[in-house]
Amino acid sequence: MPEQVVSIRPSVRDNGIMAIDDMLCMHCGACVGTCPTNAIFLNEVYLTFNEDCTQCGMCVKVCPVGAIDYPRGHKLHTMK
Amino acid sequence: MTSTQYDVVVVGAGPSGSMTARYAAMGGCRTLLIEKRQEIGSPVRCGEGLARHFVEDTKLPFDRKWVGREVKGAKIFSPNGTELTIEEAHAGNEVGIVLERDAFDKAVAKEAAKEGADIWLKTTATAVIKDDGWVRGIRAKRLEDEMNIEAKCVVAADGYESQVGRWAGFKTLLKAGDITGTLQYRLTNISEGHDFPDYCEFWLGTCAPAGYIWVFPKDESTANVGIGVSLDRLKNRVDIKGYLDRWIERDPRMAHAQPLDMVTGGVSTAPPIKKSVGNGMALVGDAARMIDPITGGGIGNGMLAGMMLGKVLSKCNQTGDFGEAALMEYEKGWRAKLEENLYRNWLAKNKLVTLSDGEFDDIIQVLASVGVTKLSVRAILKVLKETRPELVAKFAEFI
Repeated sequence: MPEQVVSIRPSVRDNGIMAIDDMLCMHCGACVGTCPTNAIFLNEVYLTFNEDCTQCGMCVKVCPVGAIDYPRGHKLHTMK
Repeated sequence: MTSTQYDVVVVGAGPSGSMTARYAAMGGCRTLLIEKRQEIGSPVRCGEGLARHFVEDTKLPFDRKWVGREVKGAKIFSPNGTELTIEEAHAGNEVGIVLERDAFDKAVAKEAAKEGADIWLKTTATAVIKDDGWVRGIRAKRLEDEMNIEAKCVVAADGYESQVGRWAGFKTLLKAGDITGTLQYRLTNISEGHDFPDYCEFWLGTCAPAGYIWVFPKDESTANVGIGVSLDRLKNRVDIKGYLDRWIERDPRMAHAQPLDMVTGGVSTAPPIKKSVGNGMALVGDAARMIDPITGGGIGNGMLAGMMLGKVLSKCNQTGDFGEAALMEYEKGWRAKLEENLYRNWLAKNKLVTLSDGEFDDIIQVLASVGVTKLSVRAILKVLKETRPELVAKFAEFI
């Protein structure tokens, strides 16, 4: 066994605004209806964030499966 | 870009949207019902509880296909395990039938089709076409074709997300305290206890902060076990799942239970929206925040409002006037039927979320020993006031 297993999450799309794990996302729309700036668009296949996002984090908390996170480098980023 | 014309286009083929389309088509409107998914009713995003009377109220033909299980009533559990049993006749709007939502949604859509409504799947609304203070239709993507769907009236029945309404300028924004994140497993191999599977269960207290955990039986050993937690009580990513998983671990009936499916979603626990109609536009169901803020149930209210809206649209079609004033009849209709209860329950919810586990224990204890004949906020408070007035001090203004 290698000493340290390097975990990779190829399913994470991080556009610098928010990070979404497509493997976790259930496309339920909880984040879309929650977003105060209407910055999330969901078409049943994947969801996207646009520049209206203020990184308020309501979607991060409301997502029941934890598929949304702050982008890499953000101090609140928790995806490993 | 291609363009199509209809009298009415309904965005979203859930129970509210399909019911609207059904009654609009019945009244002679050329109606189009669009659904972004490839299958109506699937994936299910619901606890699936519904009171029987809504089926009769909306004249939906009864079909065993969409009945998962019929229950005897509801059981409410306080944090220390005190049990309050309420028989079905008094149990409110979410108890009676545990549905098979995938079959149910198809059944309602089938009624819409029977009346002559067209249904398009894999069709996503991407924008609202506005002109001179009127909504004139929507931009949509159907499979790979982009098109304009011109309509005299656009009905936004797009559920919790409520995007179409927002694009058209309606205020459907929610405060954190009025948003509930939900997660549900369909668990099987549940063992006996608390009269399972004859009652819909509601577990209160800090197991689900400012929300509750539900157990809605689907068959002898299977149930929808879900949780709703208010957004303002959530601190970190995946908190909701943690709360539910911890509760399941502690319930001995669930020791060997295994999941068959997993459902997530957002639920509004907000007061009804200020305005649900505009020139050539109306909102219905979850999109209009018609969900009961205490129970989180919205199927029945949505279908009732959908029926009213469909009938009003039929009238509008006869005169050709789909303006805000003409559609106001729908707004007045649903408010007369639903608003007082929704608003009262929203106020009560805001008090309920402040109760401690000890207070829940006391209240349920009193209700279980005295007995309560009707599961409504007012009836419960009345009982409490007579027996333990100090418990209801927080609710003084409701009595």
